[in-house]
Amino acid sequence: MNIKKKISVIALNILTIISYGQKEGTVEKFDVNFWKDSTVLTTLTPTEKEFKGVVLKDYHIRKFLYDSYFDERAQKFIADVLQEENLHYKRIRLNNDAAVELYNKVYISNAGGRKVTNLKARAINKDGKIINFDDSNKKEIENYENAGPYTIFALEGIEVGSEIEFTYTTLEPADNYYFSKMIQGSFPKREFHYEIISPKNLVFHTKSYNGLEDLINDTSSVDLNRYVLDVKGVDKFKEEQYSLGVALRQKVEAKLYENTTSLKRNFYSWSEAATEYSKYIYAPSNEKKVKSEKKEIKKFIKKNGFDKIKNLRDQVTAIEHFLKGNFSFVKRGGYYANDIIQSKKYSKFSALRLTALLLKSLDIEHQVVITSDRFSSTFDPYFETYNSLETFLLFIPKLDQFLAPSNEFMRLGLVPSNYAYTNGLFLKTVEIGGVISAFPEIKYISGVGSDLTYDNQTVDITFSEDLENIKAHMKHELRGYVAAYLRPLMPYLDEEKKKEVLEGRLKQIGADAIITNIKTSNEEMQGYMLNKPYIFEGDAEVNSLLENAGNKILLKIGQIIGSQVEMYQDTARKYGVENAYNHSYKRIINLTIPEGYEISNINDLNMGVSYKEGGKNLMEFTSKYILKGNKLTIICDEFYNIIRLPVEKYDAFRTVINAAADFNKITLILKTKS
Amino acid sequence: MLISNNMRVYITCFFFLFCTVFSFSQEQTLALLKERFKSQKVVYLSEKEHLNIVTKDNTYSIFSDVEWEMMYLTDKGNSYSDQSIYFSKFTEIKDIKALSFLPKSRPGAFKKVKVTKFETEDVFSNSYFFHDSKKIKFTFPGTEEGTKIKLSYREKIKDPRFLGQTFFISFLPKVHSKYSVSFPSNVDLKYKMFNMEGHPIKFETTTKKGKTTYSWTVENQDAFESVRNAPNIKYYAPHLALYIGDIRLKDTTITVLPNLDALFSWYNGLVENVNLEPDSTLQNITRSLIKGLEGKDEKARIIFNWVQNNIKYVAFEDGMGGFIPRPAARVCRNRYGDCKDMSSIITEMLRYAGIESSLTWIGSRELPYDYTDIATPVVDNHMIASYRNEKDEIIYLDAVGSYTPYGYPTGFIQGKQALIRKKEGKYEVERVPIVTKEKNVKHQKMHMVLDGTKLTGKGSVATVGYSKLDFVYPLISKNLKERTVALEAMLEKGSNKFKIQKASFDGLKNRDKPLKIEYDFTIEDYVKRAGDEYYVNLNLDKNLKSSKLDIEKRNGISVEHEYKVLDQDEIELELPLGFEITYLPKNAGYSNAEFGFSIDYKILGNKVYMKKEIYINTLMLKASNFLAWNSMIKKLNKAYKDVVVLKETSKKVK
Repeated sequence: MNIKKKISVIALNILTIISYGQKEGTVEKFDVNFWKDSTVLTTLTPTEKEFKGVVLKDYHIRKFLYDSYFDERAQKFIADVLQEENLHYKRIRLNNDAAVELYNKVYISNAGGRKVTNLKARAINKDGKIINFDDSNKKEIENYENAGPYTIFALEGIEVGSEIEFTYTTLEPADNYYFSKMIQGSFPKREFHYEIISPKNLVFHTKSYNGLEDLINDTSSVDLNRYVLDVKGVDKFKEEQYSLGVALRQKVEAKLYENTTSLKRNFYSWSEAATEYSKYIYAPSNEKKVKSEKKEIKKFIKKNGFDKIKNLRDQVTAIEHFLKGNFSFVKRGGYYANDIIQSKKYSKFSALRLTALLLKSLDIEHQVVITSDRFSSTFDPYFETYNSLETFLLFIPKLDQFLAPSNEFMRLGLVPSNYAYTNGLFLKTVEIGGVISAFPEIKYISGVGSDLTYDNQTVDITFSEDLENIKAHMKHELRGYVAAYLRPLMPYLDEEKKKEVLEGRLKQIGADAIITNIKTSNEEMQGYMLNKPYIFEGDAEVNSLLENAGNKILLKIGQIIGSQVEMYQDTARKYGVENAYNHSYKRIINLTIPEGYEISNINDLNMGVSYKEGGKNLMEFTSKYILKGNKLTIICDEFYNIIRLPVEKYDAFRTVINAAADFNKITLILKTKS
Repeated sequence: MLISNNMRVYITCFFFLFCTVFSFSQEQTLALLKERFKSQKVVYLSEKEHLNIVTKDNTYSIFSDVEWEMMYLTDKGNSYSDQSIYFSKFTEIKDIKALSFLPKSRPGAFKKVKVTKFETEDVFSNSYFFHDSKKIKFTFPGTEEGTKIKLSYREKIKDPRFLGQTFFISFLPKVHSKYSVSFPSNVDLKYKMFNMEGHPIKFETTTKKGKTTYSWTVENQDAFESVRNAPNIKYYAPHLALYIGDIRLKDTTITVLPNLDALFSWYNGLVENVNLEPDSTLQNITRSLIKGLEGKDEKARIIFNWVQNNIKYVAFEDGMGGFIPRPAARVCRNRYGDCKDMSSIITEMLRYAGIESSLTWIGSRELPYDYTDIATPVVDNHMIASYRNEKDEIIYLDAVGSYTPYGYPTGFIQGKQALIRKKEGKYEVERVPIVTKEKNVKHQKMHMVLDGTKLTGKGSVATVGYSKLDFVYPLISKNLKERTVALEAMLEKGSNKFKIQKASFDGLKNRDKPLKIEYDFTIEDYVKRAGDEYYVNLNLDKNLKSSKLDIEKRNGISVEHEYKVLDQDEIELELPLGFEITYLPKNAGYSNAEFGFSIDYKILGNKVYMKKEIYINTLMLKASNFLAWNSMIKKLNKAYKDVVVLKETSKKVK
């Protein structure tokens, strides 16, 4: 093993020590005989009655144990193998129909040789009557939507006001040593209990998130390791708009840290991941296949002329466009480049691999970056678990840009925004004497600013001769993310569908608008897309912008920008703001005022709010006008150049968002000149 | 409908293409197909299905040979490379052959590649908890333009009652498609065609050695495009339903589905043994429910409501289990069931209550068929209970609609024929009434005062029937706070600055009472002001404003409405002291038998009143009425634009 790797391992160990969160203490033994023959309905508190449902008890004991295992396929016992046993128990009070419908069906996966035993379920009705689950109502499904075998059943006898109780145990050969446990759900929980139990030689590390207390490593447990979380009272989780979403739920991340018997530790570390993945990507063990793969890659590069391109950015974009334009994604794609190139089908991972191999073959310096969706499980640099390694990106240091081989919409410079503006694991791969290894580095995956993601609009409007309708020419210029989610679709749509999509966009001026003369430019997926705004334009004739008030005309000019989010906050905001990406809108509206008319409330058009940090505007909505004769020009600037704001700054954010909604309500009053 | 309106163009085009496909080189064919089916990704070169009905001595077998070949017209054609064959316990799939023909550089030459990997997967949808339907999934290799993919397999039909339907339009274009059936003279094969007028479908019949073959051929067909708010495709697409009357074997005759008597007799056989034993638990429940009640309606109502409240919809579809209800006792214990189970428990409870009732088969409105027209399982997909009340009216009891009021059918079976099981193997066929608009009313009132550019006031919604259900479903499971927030979004009066401060709800849970909602509201910035003039549009709701129909695009396809409806609005704007009205909008209206509206204004003292009424009195707006509809929408939109103008004459006196 090379020394450098060892150093990085040590460096990361220090990190781990300060980062994992479990404390030592003693915890009483947990009584697993919670299933009583007789049981009565629980008395709810007045607050609990207000919820759709209440999880009264939620227990989960995850136990690793060495035992003999009966292999169904081989029809024999295997002695002394590590197994994972999960004991689940839930007791839930269902206060309304929606809760009943949510909980009267149970799905248990039997995938991966998992055996389900000790399945017991019952309902306790309002009048105290107990209805036991009849096993014959169980259905075994061989392949549930390709997710493998499942046991499903509907619980019997449930009414509104019933309590349901069910327990089951699953047993399977252990092969998953890092996992997360979600604590918060759509119902509040009265008692929550979670334990990880392992043989003494298997040491686990855990970390609690989002205000959840730490697990306790029970020092009184002699024969086994025992990590316990026991919470009385878990709030129900309520998602907030413009927040990190479900990533804010309380949860536990856990992983096997050390096997004291084999003196091995830090199984799931960034350093380990870096080494494993770099091997898996660049240096699989089958040498023969690697050799022929290399040849195939060279051939492919030559055939498509990638080696002839001089400029680095052009080279990368050419490869990316070619793959994304000609290859398609399948769930399970081949691994070796030969298979992929022949079938033109790849999985998300094999897309990454093929791209990386092409770059490598062309000697283009690059790093594989691995991260997770910040809106479902934000990457935590300080707890090293492979749960955080969900998606692969590539980083080109010389361009200081990222690309996402597994996403057909994105091109160099843009990766799906939920994987940007967050941390990730960068694999700095080195090859010394033909041996591939990689240094792990945790870095921020920077995303583009609002100057690169925008939907700029120019709208020229005039009145029809009879002053009954508005005629408009609208031009949109889209760049960055807003273009990336629209433009790449275009080659896949026929003319009719394409027209329909763009018509839908242009109809922001009014649902009744009749749209004609749609034109687009920069539609082809060629070259460096981030510098090529996607432009679409069209003419509209729209009636709903006008209202009559006797001899006056009301022009609902604000509606031209389309309807805007209006945010209210009735209850205290809990979480900080998290934006999907930085973005801006510049809107220029040119209005020709009909002859003989003047605007009586033109000053309504002047408005503006902004948010500053360090003397710099980070969010803004402003509108101003210029009037020259009968030509009115309105210039409206809106931008958000900040991804996250603490909860204290939420109101500032809301003010800017709502300013756009205020603009949307502006109506100009046109009266005959006096 | 078929795209080619011009027959002549159609025919010449077809001949041209037909010749070229078979006599030109591959490259040229591709070019011609691309030209003919512009902006399409793929085309079926041929699509054939042949249904064989074979008898021998005392046995018979039915199987369909399916074969199609598709060509990718662009490199995006491979989005069709993933294919699936669906099957259930009533069918069996055999002899699957799937081949790709990958174009070689030499024009017209192909490399043949076989698909070898087939995966079977269970198929689920939201409407079923368990379904026996499965699919065989596979992927054709090849991605390039000009690639051909070809599939063939045999589908064995295990039950002669399920021959199914065939459609002569498709969302993908076809060069040649043919559906055929062959049967010996001892099989009484019948068929029924729907919506065939005006479609160039060639029918042929031949008889050879006692075997008759019917075939329907379509050539050179464009892709079909759907339109919004259309009824189910079965209402307008040309299609065919085959069925067998009887099969006369050597020693025996199997009666399949010669007529409605036979369909009923089969159905009846499936249900007659379901509820033989009375169940004491259910009897006790029934007894305590109807205690002290006298009339049939009263008893039936309380039993129906109990089932609606207590039996949750969970559907298991498993072979013939899809046709046989569970016993009432079982449904009672489970507290869940599908439509058949609910019908089973309702009829049994009614029986305990001394009321004669019937299991009733019915098709939802998605199915355009009548039992009296075609008596096969294609007609129905649903089961309800029904009975005759004291006034001898049939009351339809469909507990799948958890909140449907007693006396209303569920919305999706209005106007449909019901097959009602009577005693002693008898049945009757009746038509479910369409609920009149007067029973689906939404009556809204708003009283508001001007407060600068803000409106403040009180509003109410009183609603019955299906209109009420539009509120009940989204609101019923929420607490008061959540309800208030949801109501705000549902009503959104004037703009998204509409805010409700306080709301009360009455009648959400009681199915027999109208729903009455009362709320306090404000709308900031709704009133426009210039100097001393204020502009208020009293049309805070502009429903139907964007419902002008694109007549050309609809191509004659009707617009389906969920139910007949009457919306009434009464708006009252109170002027503060020192204000006067300087402009009052004009009254407007439109009316015919199927739809209409009226908007009337008046001034009384310091108040402006607006009364608005909109009605839709049809479930199916036909093409012949499209122009009239559009002219109503035009008038309505004009009326929506008319704004009240107020003038501040003196400063407010407090």
